[in-house]
Amino acid sequence: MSRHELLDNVRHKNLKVDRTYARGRGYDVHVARVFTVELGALQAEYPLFFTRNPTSGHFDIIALLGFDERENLYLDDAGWLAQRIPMTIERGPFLIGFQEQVDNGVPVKVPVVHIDMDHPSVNESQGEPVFLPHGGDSPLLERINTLLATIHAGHPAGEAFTQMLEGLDLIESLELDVEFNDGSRHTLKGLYTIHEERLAGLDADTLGRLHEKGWLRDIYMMLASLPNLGVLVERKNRMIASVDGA
Amino acid sequence: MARDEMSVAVQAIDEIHDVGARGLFEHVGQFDHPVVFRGLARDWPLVRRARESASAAVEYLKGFDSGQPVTAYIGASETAGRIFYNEDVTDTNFNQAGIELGRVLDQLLEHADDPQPPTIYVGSSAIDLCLPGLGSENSLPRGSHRASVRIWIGNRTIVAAHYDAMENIACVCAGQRRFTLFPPEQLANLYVGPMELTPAGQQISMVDLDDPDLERYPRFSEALKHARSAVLEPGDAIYIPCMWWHHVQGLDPFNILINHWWREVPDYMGAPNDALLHAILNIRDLPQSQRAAWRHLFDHYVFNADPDHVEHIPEHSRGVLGTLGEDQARRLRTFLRNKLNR
Repeated sequence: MSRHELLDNVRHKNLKVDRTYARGRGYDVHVARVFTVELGALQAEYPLFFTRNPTSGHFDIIALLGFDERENLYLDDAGWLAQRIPMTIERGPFLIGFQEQVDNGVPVKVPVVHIDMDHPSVNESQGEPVFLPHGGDSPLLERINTLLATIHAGHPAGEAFTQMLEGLDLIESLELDVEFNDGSRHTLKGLYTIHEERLAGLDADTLGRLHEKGWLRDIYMMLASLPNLGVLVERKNRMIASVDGA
Repeated sequence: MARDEMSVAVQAIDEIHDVGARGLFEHVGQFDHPVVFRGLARDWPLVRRARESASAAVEYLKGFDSGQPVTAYIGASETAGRIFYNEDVTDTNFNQAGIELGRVLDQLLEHADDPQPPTIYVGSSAIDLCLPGLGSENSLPRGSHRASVRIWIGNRTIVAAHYDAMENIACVCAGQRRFTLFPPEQLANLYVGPMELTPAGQQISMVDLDDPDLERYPRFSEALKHARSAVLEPGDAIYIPCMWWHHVQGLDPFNILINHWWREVPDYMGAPNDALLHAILNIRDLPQSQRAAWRHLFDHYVFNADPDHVEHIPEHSRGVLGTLGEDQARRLRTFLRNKLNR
């Protein structure tokens, strides 16, 4: 269900992107990958966890958006129910692809912007144009360029953070049973968080090193986000109630 | 035979013997034409090994191989070494692949006695990336110049006349190489190909130098009158002035060249070709009378700009018309970038 094309100001000259983040617009996902640069902004509204990346075997950071596949409790029919939107959601149909180019006689892979033509936000009549009338980058595309560059840089930064946590044995598996007000239960699996006791036991030298890298802040942002899990359960309860009431 | 006729007709490139390598980058600045320096690189270890045998040179190069894949051009044997276009000029006549340099070198040795080898060519690879350390004993002393040092490896290959917007001293390390050069003003007589689709990164002459079709390319005979040619042996070097068209032919089954590219202008200056493309976009298709007026403006502000053309403006108000420096260039580039984004 996706058709990725290299973004091109001739081929895609009339393209528009409808940036309504609402149900059925391509954002019905229950987790969003997030990066360390946005933890400060996101921790106030989203419960943040680690999950094991099946490809790399290392940990990624995610924001939990719902309890079931395709359940995004931050969406309703009108829009997005939070002040901040994770970067991997905000980018919508745009993604980073790689193009082989030759630099100094050596083949290199250069990041380039791709677009998923099957994404529901992509059309030719509604929303913000991707290109200016003569092919320049529109304000939307300039924003997307910044966003994708930040995400691209976020990958190694996130890996360094989680590998450090693994090295210090600071990541623990979390198994949580949540009960909703209709009596149904849900067991959250595959989520990991910061091991608070081991964190408390770190010596001053280690803490100093974490602080220098900005990682101490990231660790506390992850911990501070956890009460938002209660907020997420509340949202689910309200949804169940509104369905029952209807 | 066309080749023999030509080698008789074409003027030889000036030669200087026994010139020292030190200070050569400054020294060549006095020449407004190409010069061959015989034996300049004769003592380089790579040249000495290549004189022994191709396999000795390969073994030596492999000692520096970083394992970094290089971009190799592989053409069918029918191309006979010509790095060119396909029949209808929709693509090149070879395939590009990222291959380890060691494998390319092995393939060259394998095909050394092959009467009809595939075309194998690795052009313009930065030696600091693919053969780190090779340059310390196998390149010219650069003094204060920041030169890019590249290696070119292949069998019998022909790269048609093209220009580079850089000063160039190229040293033949293995195999004989023939250089045929044309001064910049021969542009119109060289029948230059497209700008976007280029076989080796620069626009090339579409004329087959060894067998020119003078019915199709009649003005090429005029270009030949202005051509200069030389065959370089291992250890010989050539100064190719910036912007001179050069046709380069590797004459042996195993050829290596190391060249030095540098610019004598401040770093803030971008590629002149960008300005040419900008002028194609915004000037070329103007009505003739307007173009004529713009020719005056370009002559006045660009091509003939001498210091006194802005003397009537107070120095502090000259803006881009005054002396450009790093900061002024930054502002100008941002201004243009914003103007282009429309």
